[in-house]
Amino acid sequence: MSSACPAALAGPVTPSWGGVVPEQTTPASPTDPAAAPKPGQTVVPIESSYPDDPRITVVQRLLAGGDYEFAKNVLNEILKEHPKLGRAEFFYGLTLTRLKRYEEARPRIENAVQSGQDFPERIHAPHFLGWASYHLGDVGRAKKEFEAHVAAVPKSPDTIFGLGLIAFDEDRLDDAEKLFQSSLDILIPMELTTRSHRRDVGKAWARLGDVSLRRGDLAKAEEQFMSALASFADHYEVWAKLARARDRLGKTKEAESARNEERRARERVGLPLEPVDGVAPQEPTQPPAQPPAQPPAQPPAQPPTQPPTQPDPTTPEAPSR
Amino acid sequence: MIVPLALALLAMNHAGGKDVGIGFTDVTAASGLVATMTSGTLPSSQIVEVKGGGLALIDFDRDGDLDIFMPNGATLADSERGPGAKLFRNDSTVDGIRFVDVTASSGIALTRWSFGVAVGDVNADGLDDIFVSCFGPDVMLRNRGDGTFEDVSAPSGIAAPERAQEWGTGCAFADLDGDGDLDLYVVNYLAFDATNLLPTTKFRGLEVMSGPKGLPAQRDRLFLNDGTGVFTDVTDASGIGAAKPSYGLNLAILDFSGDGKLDIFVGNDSHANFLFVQGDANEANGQRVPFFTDEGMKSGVATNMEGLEQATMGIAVADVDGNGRPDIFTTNFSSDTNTLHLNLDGTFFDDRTSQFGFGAVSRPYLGWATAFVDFDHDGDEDVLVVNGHVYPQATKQSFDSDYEQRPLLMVRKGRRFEALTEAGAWKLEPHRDRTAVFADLDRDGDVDVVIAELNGPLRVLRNDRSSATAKNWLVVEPRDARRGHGDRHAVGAALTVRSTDADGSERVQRRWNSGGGPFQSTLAPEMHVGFPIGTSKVSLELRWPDGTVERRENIELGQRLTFERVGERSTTAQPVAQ
Repeated sequence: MSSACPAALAGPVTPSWGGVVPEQTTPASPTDPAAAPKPGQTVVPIESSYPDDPRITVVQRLLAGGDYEFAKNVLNEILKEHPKLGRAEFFYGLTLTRLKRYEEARPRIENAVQSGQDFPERIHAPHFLGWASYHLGDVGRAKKEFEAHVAAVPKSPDTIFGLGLIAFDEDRLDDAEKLFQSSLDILIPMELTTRSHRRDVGKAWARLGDVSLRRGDLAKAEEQFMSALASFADHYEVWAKLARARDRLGKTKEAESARNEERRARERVGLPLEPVDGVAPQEPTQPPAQPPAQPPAQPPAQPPTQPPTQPDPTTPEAPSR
Repeated sequence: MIVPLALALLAMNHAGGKDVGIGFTDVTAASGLVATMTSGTLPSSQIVEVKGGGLALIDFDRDGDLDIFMPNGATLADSERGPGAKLFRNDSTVDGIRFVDVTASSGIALTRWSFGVAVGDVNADGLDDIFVSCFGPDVMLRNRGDGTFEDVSAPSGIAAPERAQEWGTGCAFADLDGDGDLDLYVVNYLAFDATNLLPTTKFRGLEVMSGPKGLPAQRDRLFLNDGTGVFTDVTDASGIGAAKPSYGLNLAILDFSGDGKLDIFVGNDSHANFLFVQGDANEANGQRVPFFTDEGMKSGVATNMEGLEQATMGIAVADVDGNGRPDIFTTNFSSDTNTLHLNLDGTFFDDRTSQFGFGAVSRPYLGWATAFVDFDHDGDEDVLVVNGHVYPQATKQSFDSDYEQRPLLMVRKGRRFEALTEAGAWKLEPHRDRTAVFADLDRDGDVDVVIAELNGPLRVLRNDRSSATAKNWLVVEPRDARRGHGDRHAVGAALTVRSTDADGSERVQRRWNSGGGPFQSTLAPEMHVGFPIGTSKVSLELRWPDGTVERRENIELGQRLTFERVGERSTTAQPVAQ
């Protein structure tokens, strides 16, 4: 795909939540978008074939709402009563990844997989393990885990995106470009109605821009960053990237404009560039010291903590069966 | 036969055909370098306790080797009266690294909570003096030349009343206005009240110390020297004061733009870094004042590639991509990466952290002092970063990063750097490291390391490279001994080294004598270069800070060389070919 104009990214809006994934090459998993209800289709519940606890639905809601500590408490209660409940263990690990405690998350997710229980989110375990490994700096392990997930769920754009990031880290720019493009190719045909979906499209465009910037193709990078922002304007990191590309292109005024947009985007997402001096650092949700208040350098604002275009196992709306 | 572990590994690596080639031996016990760097008490609970202090390399007795000065910290109970700074005389020989504590006889009685340190001949008397940035009024120590120092803080003009409330971190001397004397840049961190301790706050689900976010940042200071060691604060007149106060920690002074004038890179914690590019001078109160504009954001060096501000503790400069320009490497917080900004053209920098292999591997570490050094004499520079978390509560489980951490040694392998996991035993020990200095302490041709740990003993790591291999190294010292010239070490000097490898290909290496240091510390006033076995046709080109160029051909390896300027100082640069 070429670097399409931003308007093309909006695409036709379809009424279903997940759209249609073309060319399904492997049997759809219970949580695969291909198995999602099509417009007008009736969902027939089936009996659970794995040990479960109804409170996990509550956990999913808590995670979706960002209440990770409460989710942990609920999961602790569940696990106290059912210490071998693989699905609860999985969600415990997932909750820890949301808290960016990847080292602690890993064994939880691994235990869930080793439980042998066939809960629906299990197929995505390598995805979460891959991101945990990536954030822990073990790129080799992350690569294997991402590859395992792609083998099981070939149309997993965020896992492919992760492989693209690793290729970029390893300075394999051609591979990185192909992988980011593949991620985009899966994402684009889907509708752009959810914030996370638009964010993921923007993310893939932004990384394509990074590849172009690395190659010194500043004009293409600028175009790709703009495509990213057309999909997700709150991606303040991309405004910063766009500003830098424009600076290097000699577009000083446009660069300053992008920086202003970066400031606005930061304010929109609650991470203003200029901290307020003199305020006692009592805000419990603010990281108190050196680390940026959001996820670290690479990937940018949103280290994907779930396969975003797969049904999100943290939301009860996900068609998990 | 018992073989020291490090040497055994060195030999094993050679025998296995994999020339890892780096081996250190911890010689602290025998070195006499016995000191503990105090910084509050453990476990740290306030931000002032977690930065640690610096180390300085200084040939205070002019015997040709580098002695060590350690400013020291204090505790919250009394920030004015800590255990005190230490001065160690270097009595090393090629047979061993030896230091003698000469603090008592030096007259140094600095007990204030100290952080950064800079070394330079501020009054142009041929002797290196010491500046110490403090939590509170900074201190200038004049070298009397008889082994003693005198506190000249007040007459030097650096101790203005408003400075008493500042917390100085990194600092450096350089001849910023090109008049031959050493000016002074002091990086400031934030306003902290030791009598009003901060409560903890929550981060990643744990209660940890507060700051820096939410605390008032302090602006940096620039002082111009009148040539006699008396300084004037020109922060406002120089444009430095126009920058938004930020949580500054460290700096590097060098001609990053390539226009012949020194620029200043300042690493800020959680704020955008500054790149003060020097333009045309201003006149202020009859004084010619260099003027700087912060081009950090526009140049791309203010943040990482994501546009995110980083912690930026350690700073190291090297020509990583071989384009002849100084690139900037910085160390950062855990779960973030250390960052490499390539200097593309003197105007723009680009974050190439991952391209060179620095990204993922550094995530578990919270990095501090760092330096590029060719530890293994293979003709390219490696990188050492010392690490340790600021939160005593940090564990792998809770923060994906332990409180005590190993140093990270990155070895150049082709275009990328790879973490070395098989060096000596010292590397396997986790510490609360903060700073380090890098120098050929025993003058055997390879670079040794002294590391300072937060509330822990200094460690001396002897590089065993020279004893294990051929003398394929050079140590080059620029020495400006012209009368009345204070910038004796030629801060900003650039060395280009050309040589021919065994296969006939040309190798070009570059080194800079930059101002600033690994972290709140100083760099050795000399440039070390390693070469692969079989190197021939070595030539050197030294560009002095005033643009004068000297060349030398057919250099024999395995020696220390001095480029020296003598006589009267000329007011205009005159290229000299030798």
